[in-house]
Amino acid sequence: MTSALAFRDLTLGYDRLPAVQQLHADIAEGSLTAIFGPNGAGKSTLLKGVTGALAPLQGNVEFGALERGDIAYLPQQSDIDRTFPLSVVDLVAMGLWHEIGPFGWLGKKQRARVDAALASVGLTGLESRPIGSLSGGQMQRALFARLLLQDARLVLLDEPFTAIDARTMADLLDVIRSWHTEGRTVLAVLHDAETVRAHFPETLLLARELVAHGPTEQVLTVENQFRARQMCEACAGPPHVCGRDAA
Amino acid sequence: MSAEKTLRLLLVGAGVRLGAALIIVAALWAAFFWATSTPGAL
Amino acid sequence: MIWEIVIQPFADFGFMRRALLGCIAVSLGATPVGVFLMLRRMSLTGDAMAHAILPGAAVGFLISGLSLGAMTVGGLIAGMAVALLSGLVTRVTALREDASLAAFYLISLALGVLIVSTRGSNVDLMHVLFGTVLALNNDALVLLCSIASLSVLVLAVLFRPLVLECADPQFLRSVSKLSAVTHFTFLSLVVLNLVGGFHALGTLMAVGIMILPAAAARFWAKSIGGLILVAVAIAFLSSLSGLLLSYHYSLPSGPAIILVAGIIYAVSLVLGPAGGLIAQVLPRRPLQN
Repeated sequence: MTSALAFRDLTLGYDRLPAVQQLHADIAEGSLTAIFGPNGAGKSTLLKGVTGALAPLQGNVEFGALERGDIAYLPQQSDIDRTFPLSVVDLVAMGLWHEIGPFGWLGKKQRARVDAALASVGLTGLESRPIGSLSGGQMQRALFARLLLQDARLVLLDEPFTAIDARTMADLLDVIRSWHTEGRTVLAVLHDAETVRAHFPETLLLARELVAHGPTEQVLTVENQFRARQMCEACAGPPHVCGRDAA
Repeated sequence: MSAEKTLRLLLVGAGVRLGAALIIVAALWAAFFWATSTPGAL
Repeated sequence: MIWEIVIQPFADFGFMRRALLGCIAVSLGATPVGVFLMLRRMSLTGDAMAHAILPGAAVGFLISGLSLGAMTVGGLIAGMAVALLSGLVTRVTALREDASLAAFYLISLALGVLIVSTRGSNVDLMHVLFGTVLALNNDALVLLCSIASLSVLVLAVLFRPLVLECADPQFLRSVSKLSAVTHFTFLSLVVLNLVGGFHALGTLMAVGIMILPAAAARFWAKSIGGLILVAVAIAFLSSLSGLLLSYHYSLPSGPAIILVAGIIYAVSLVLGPAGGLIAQVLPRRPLQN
């Protein structure tokens, strides 16, 4: 089993205050992993570290055979300007950036793939709608369609189901499952243990430091979750008192 | 609505946009020569 | 009748034709830039940059009088300096961006007026503040048309990254390294068009032709292409009517043009189908896909 990603004593943070500490873990190629943990555990920070938006304070992320272009990232509150006069097709088609680049032409074949992506997230017929008129769920579907077109080998999702209706969530979980069967590596930050247990075979439990990593049923034990919460509460103070001893 | 649909500027290639821009620029310079060369009292 | 009011002034007088061409060039370059400025919520930044150009141009004036070249170079240097500094000031100081920009452009305005006054007359000052659209010579027209051409071409080529940089910068940064290049190129276009507009309409009015048509277009069009088209059309219309108003009623032309643009904005605010006041009050038609 080769690893798609390897965290090597990774410490990430803002303004020199660490939010993720000395994380050491391997994410297997083709795995479907949930990143789970209490608030402030550094889950989102970890994804930013993988995309390169945040430089490590210490350690590094090793990519195996992946390159930057193989990574697609869906941020939590994506800072898309919803009032911007962009239609759904415009937004979704930009997932083809790696093919059409800043100057290229969107040909018939690509247009068909955009339509297919829209269909697989259930947005057929809404192509010309301005993005400002979409509901939260429809917007998330559109962003998933864009991810589909990015055709990335590593997909990073940050809380993809917050404020989303149940039907949308079920549809989007289908999309995630299809990525998994296609052998793509998926890494998703989630806060709902039920969703993780039902749909994610692997879990990485994080509380600034690694609590546990492995098959979900072994990781998401009551004991582990309790320990994670304790570690995070201990970390709520100044960061220098945080660490193994505090837990 | 149909007029809005045809203006899908984001999805055409840069070549098309550049071509359109060149036509506009040519028209501008044509206007320049018209404005500066035709006689008229100052 | 219409001939006499609308066509005659341009048929009879070379200076009117030149003025019209100058305004059309400014509209063609500055207005699309203004649309993006608005979409990035940077209208105020544009305003600050316009004011910052004044002391730069004034220094050019101090060195070599009312020379096109010196004032252009002075304005460009000052404008670029502000474009680079504006981000820095907010990051370093605790002041909120709008406060620091307001402070900044008041200082620039005062400084520019002082510099011009030390050397020139009130006429010179009026020239710098309100432009000389009725006295554009060939050199000035070549400059204005070149700036407009460059803007249109650059916007056409960089359209896609620029749209993404405005709409979803995080995504652009994740797929491309063009983000910084796009941002800087765009700021350069803003400065360039403000300096060009300054020759025709003056420092205070140049930013008007950049921002007012864009703001008005927002109430008519829903796509970016539509926005740019409507905004440029509004700018053309304002230029034409403003020049005619100033011709028939001997009003200063720069303010007349901006005032027409302002009136169109006010009308759009009330009547515009896309979010105008009346459209919001009236019951909505059922949504179509």
